[in-house]
Amino acid sequence: MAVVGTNTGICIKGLTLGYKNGSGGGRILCREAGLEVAPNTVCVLLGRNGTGKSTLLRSIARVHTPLTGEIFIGENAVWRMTDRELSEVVSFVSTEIVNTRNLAVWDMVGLGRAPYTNWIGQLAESDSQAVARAIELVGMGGFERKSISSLSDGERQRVMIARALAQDTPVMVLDEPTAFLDVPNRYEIALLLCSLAHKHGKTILYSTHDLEVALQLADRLCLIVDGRFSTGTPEELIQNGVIDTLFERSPLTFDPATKQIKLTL
Amino acid sequence: MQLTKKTRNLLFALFAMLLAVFFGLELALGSVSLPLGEVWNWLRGAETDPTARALLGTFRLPKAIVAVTAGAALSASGLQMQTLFRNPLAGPYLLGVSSGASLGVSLFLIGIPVLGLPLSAEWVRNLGVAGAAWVGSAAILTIVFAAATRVKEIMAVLILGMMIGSGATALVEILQYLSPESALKSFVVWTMGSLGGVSSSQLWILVLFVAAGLLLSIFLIKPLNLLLLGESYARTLGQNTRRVRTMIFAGTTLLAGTVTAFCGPIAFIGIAVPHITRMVFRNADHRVLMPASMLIGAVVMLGCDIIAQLPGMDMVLPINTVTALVGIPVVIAVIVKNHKFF
Repeated sequence: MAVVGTNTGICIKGLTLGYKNGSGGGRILCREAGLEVAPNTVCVLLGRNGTGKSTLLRSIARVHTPLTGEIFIGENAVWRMTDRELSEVVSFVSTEIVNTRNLAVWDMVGLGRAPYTNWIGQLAESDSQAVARAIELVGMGGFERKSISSLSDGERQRVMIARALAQDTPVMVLDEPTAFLDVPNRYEIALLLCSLAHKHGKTILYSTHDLEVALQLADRLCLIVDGRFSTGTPEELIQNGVIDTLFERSPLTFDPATKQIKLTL
Repeated sequence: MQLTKKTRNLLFALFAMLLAVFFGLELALGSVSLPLGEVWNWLRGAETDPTARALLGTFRLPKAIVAVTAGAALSASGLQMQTLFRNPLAGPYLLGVSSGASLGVSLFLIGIPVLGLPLSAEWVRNLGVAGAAWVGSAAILTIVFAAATRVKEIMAVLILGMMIGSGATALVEILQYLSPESALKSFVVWTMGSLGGVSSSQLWILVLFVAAGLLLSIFLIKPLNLLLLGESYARTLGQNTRRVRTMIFAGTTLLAGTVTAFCGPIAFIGIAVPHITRMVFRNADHRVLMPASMLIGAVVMLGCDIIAQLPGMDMVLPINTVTALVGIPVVIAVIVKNHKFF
């Protein structure tokens, strides 16, 4: 089976994210926020630590339950789907590092086929093809029998993306896929995500702190500042000064001319 | 690099042969050693010396079956717990599941005469013991898991498990202290733990429920593989994590609880055997680990019991001391090497 995509986007309406604690307090990350990601595009989430990027992504993958609001994958509301149905439309790569000893790359990526395999997880011919193709797409061909604990951080991140690819979902959600990586690896991962969206029909939403990569390789950006979502193309957000708001209350400024961050002391 | 399929099958065959050899030795060795030829004759139903026949049929064969059952059960439950807790040091003994079973059994054994329950039929009483062990181990497992989701640190979870287990053991000792003499005797006999003290009706209950637990473990292979990625990932792959967790609790309770009910608490098999299996098979896939852990668990348990018999001597060591001495070096090796399994 080929890793094919369908024209499925993400649509979020009236989303309130936050954490309640027992004593009636808690923290609201955003209120009544909305976001739309068009099919077959890459949208990058930007925002300072603790603004709710991970919580938003986890809500789409339904690992977290939002306080209010609706998340649609294509036409379907996430909360209405069964675990199995959701697993066939959304795949998720979290920041959690899976470093199991003796787990081969092939077996790891094969776990992505879980929604389609039988009771014991046996890969059928079509599953094996999807796994092989996913490994090939992320450039990890030849590593199949290697243990994931023997890989570098960049290689392991590729394997995690391959696992999500093997899941064969139209929508992929990734939480800081370029964290812990060196500069060439960051660009390579971001380029890989771009090509998955543009050439392989995926709809991709990922978060990062890497402004330069995001500005160059995102179709659209979504900035979360003080609980508000501002979306637009990188150019638009540079022009209307939204990017600058990322650096409020810090000694940094953003220079729209060079698209670079400056330190002003 | 992983082992090839051929090497893996060879290892399976090797351990199966080892199982057969140890099973034979378990039957032959003891305070009175029988020649292996005599054991073989008896096994294939040929003419045998009547005393040997009585010894084999009423004592050694049941004990060998109990050893195989207990070894496979404790290892399978240890493997499940290590994957569920994502903790290489998890196991039914260290996380207090065995202590929970002990508490359940002691409440039951001491409760019967106190409440004057008319449980005269032996098999009803034995089922009661097993049921009490299940309730006790399931309760402890639930408490430890709830605590473990709040404290993620591997060592902290382990210490918590040991604390909760010690608490249960303390309660057991209080019960022992308060209990009437009539109940005390049957209880003290039980706490000493042995593979040989299992009656034939107990043997049936043990084998039946452990078989159910092992079957459940086989059906847990795919969910356990997904849990290698953690519960969040497992959920995004379509797994109903709550149902899976309940099934793992049920499996562990059936396996570790039933064994503890009839053999007493047996230490370190559940934690050590999955590690031995991982070292030998160099694999993380439960399709390999689960059957291999059961097989190696049975082999190790038989081996421990053969040592415990002190062949040629008139003494028998408590099985718990032997399993501890065999298992502890493995656990220490795991801690010292700080193996990252998860």
